[in-house]
Amino acid sequence: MSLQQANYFELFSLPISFQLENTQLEVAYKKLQSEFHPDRVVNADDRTRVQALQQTSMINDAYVTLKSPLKRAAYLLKLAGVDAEEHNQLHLDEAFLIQQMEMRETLASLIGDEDLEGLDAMKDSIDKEKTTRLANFEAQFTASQFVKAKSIYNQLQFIYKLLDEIDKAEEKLLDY
Amino acid sequence: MAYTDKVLDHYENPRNVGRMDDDDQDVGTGMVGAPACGDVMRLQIKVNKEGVIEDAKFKTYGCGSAIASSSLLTEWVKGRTIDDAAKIRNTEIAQELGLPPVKIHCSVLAEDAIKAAITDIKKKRGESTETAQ
Repeated sequence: MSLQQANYFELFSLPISFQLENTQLEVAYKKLQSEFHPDRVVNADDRTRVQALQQTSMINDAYVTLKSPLKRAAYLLKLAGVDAEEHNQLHLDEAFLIQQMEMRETLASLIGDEDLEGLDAMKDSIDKEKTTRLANFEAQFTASQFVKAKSIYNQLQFIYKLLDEIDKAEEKLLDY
Repeated sequence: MAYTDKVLDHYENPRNVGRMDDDDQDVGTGMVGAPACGDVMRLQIKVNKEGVIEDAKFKTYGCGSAIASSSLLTEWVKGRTIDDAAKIRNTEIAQELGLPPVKIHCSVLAEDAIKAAITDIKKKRGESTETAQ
C-alpha cells in the first residue's frame, strides 16, 4: 500500500478507533517524519523531491488530524461515510442551542466584569462537558451509531469554540 | 479578510439587538447555530393578529458577517407579513452585504433563523407550519 492510498490511521499503523494512545502517535509520527524527510532526497530529481514534499505534507496533516480529538472525530465520521460538516438545523437540538446562547451571554458578562475567577470556573465546567461528550462520541461511534455520533460531534464543535473564546478572553484580561 | 462597508456598518452599529419574552404568544423565536464556526443566533419576531411583523430582535455570537446578516434581516422583516418574510433568501442578504463566497453560510444561518422564528409563531398559534418555506 502506498502512502497516498493509506488512511491516516493506517499511515501510523494505528487501529481505526477514537481511542488513541498519544505516545504511540508521537512515536509513529517521528519515525515517518525522518523516513520521508525531504532532506533525504535533496539531490534527487524534481519528481522525487516533489513527491517527498507531498508525503511530508500528508504525514503532517495526518498527525494534526489524529492528535486533536475533535478533528479525529470528524475524520472517523468521514471514513464511515458520514459528512460531518453537512448539517441541517433540524438536527441541532434546540435546548442545546439555547444553553449555548446562555453560556455566551454569561461569558460576555464575565468579560465585562473582568472576572478571571469566574472565567476559570466556567472553563472547568465546560471542560467537563467536553470530556463527557468525547466519551459519548466514542461510545456511539464504536456502536456504529453514526447519526448520533455526528450530532455529538456537532455539539463538540460549539463547545470547542466556546473554550476557545474563554481562552481568548483570559489572555486579553491577563494582557498576554 | 476585508469586510465590506455594509458589513462593517452593521457590525459596528448592529440594529435591533435584544431579546423579547419568549412566552409572549405574539413572539416567535428562532434559535440556530453553525457547528463549523460555533456561531449561535437568536432571532425573534413580534407578529400582530394580521400576521404582520411589528418588531424584530436578534442576538448573534459569531463573526462580523453573521452579525451583519442577522442585523440586516431584522431591518428587512419589520412591516412584512410572515409569509412574505419567509420568502427572503440568503442570496439576497449575501448580495446586499457583498459577502464573499466563504461567508455565504452566515447568510444561510440568518435565513434559517427567520424560518425557525416563523415556524415557532405558527406553532404557537396552532397554524400549519407546512407553508413556511
